[in-house]
Amino acid sequence: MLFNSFIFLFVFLPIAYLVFWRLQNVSARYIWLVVTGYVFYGYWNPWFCLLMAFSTLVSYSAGLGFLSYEGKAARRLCLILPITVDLLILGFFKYANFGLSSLQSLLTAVGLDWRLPEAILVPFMDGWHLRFRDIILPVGISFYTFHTISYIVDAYRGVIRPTRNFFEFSAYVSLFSQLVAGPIVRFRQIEKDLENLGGADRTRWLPVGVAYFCYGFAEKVLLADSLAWFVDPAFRQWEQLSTLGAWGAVLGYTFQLYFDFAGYSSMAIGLGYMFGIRIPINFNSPYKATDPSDFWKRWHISLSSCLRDYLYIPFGGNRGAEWKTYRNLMLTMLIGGLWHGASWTFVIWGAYHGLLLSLYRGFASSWDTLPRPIRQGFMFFSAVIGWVFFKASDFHVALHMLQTMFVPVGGTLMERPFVFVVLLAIAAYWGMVGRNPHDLTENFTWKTRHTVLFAAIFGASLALIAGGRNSPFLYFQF
Amino acid sequence: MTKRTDAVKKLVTGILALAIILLAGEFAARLDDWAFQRVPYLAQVDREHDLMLHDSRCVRGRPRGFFKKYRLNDFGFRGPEITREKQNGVKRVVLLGASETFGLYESEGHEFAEILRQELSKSGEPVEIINAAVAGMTLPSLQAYWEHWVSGFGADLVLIYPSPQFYLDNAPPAAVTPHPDVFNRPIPVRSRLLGRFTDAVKQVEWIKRLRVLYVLRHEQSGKDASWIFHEVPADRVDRFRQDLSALAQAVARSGSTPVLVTHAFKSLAPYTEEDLKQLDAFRIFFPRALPEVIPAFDAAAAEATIRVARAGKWSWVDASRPLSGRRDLFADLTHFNDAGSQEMAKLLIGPIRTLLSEQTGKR
Repeated sequence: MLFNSFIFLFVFLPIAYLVFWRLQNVSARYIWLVVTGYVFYGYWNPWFCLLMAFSTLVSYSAGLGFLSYEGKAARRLCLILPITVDLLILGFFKYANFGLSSLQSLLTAVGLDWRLPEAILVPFMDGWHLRFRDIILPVGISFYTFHTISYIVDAYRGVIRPTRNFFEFSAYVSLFSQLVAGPIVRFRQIEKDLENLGGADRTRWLPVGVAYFCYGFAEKVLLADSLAWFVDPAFRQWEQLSTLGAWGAVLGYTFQLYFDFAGYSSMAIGLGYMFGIRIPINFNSPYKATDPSDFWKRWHISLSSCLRDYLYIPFGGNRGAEWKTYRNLMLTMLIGGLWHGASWTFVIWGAYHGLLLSLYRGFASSWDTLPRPIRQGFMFFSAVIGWVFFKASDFHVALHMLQTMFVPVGGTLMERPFVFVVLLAIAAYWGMVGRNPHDLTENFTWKTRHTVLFAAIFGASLALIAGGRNSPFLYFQF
Repeated sequence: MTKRTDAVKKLVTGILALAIILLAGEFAARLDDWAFQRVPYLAQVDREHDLMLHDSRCVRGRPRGFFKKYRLNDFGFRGPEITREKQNGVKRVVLLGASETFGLYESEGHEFAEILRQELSKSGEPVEIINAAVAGMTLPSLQAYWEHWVSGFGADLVLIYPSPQFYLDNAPPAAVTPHPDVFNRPIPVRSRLLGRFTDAVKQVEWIKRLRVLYVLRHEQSGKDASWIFHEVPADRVDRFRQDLSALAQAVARSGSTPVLVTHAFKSLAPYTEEDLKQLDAFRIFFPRALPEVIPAFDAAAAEATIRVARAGKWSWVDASRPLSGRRDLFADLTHFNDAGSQEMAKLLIGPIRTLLSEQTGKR
């Protein structure tokens, strides 16, 4: 179910909301959140609910293990075993076929004539028939796996006290607002709100929730999906693009991706508030960043902070020799790249950002003396180049796009160029100069002008959705 | 503030918000149509009206008509502008058919007629492709359309890609009687937002299913079991064959060479659950046919198409055999997606080249 679908807006959300606030005690609310989470998730494919339930059960048991055992070995077992299970599930669904095809390429490259199967096939039920097909990536698996792993690690480190309440934990994992595309919420960040859910005040957070939701709705539907109308066909015809067309496509994608994901995050945060759960921010105007380190403090904040806490710091962080810090940065970003998808283009994208962070670390003192517009402009440009690898279906396409962008060549432009330029200008202003929802909703109090503004945004977005412009969120694929 | 004033205030705010939602929605729908589909902001939009014209003799495409991504030229054909008279040395190929040929779901410029045009122009061949298909055209209507309009464009080859499913309707199709006075009237003011909502609601899976159930119950009430097509109705196949033959003869009489193309269909037995769902939904148009009869009828019509071609000594292209059952090529049961269109164009381009070069050789 998509946030930007009629079934969600007019059926699921009103029912979920009304029933939730009718329930009076905390356990009933946990159970209701679990039910809604599974209905929301099962709408794509009910079979994947089993996977999420299994992952939940494993991590919950690990939490109970931490509560029961004091011994070092037992606690280590409670850490390693469930994480291994979670990673195996993620690895199978997300990386098995990628690994297979990479292995095949490697074998071919070294001259071994071994033919591996093209893909791992899994059984599935088509009605009453058992059939086989390629592995399908369960939507949002990377996100909820991160939720469960962060819970286990934090419990092991003693950062959180694991919950004994199964439904509280299940509600945390399956919370529909952040289930399939984040933000990656750590248990400690919403633990208090979850525990106080029984006494939560419906009206206190509703205005902020509605404001966040409408803001995100506009970012997604009005901006990201409108840009997608230009960007998707342009990338499909990447071979025919002119230099101007290629720049248009890549710049368009730069803002499409941002507004798509930031829009989703704002909607998720808004939904969280509506249910009395304050989900932390995930984007803070990343295209206003002035250096790579600043960029990662603003882009997908929940992921970058997880990468920092669960990878970079355990690798050694910036403790120890300088070269080790660079190694840790590169490793963290490579894994971060691979987390986004089973493709070498994501690995390259991760390595590229690792390199940017390393360069910045080396030259920060000189870099920081440059005027802000130059630093912001350069950082934006660097991010744009990175998105070429992020978007391209393979390395060859990425290189071709970069070549088209930097070696002038004739070819096709975007359709309706005037509309595209206007849209790009609005997106650029909104993303690089304008305020973000967190600025707008700080100390928020509802006034009549908000009714007018958000009703207008909602109406306009509905009209576009009704016209067939409700594409899935880009980050669902991760 | 008393409870009553509070309630009144909430009510007024609610009404105000609803009014703003509707106004903003209408404004955005029109702006969106203008920005992305080039539809004038204040124009009234109606697919049938914008794309079809009833003249005194037949129904045809509306000159310079456009609706969303569909754009017609000065003569009411989908595609680039042409001149009425053929230019010297240029061969003309006309495509006749219904929505499958017109191109319904393909992205702009990816309907198979357009791909053919691009491919031929890429290789510099002096061939002009005219996509004369009109959505919803049955064979008898196509014949009237050919005789009164398309035949005047001097086609060398005429590819006929008929839609057999019309023959599963309550009654076999007949030529549409044009109603210029009624049909060509300006359309009344309509909300585009409402139009979008109606279309969107119709796409919701369970609403679709409910509509099918309602239509089936309504259509079947008071009729006995024999009204349902439990198997392929032989008389309808026969009627299809006769109508196709009549159209091909009309084309041949005008001095053009007809080429018959068998119809391709998405689902072939063994049916997947998805196939059965789609076949069931398709019954909203053809309530007399059981789901499995629909593809079977299509296959029978493909055979009949070849029989007609053989009997008339006309060429044919069998699209049914290589494309039917390839679910990845279709957007619904009968209409191609971009990939399907590409495959169809690949299939047609060879025979077009061969037949045109044969014609040149004969002369």
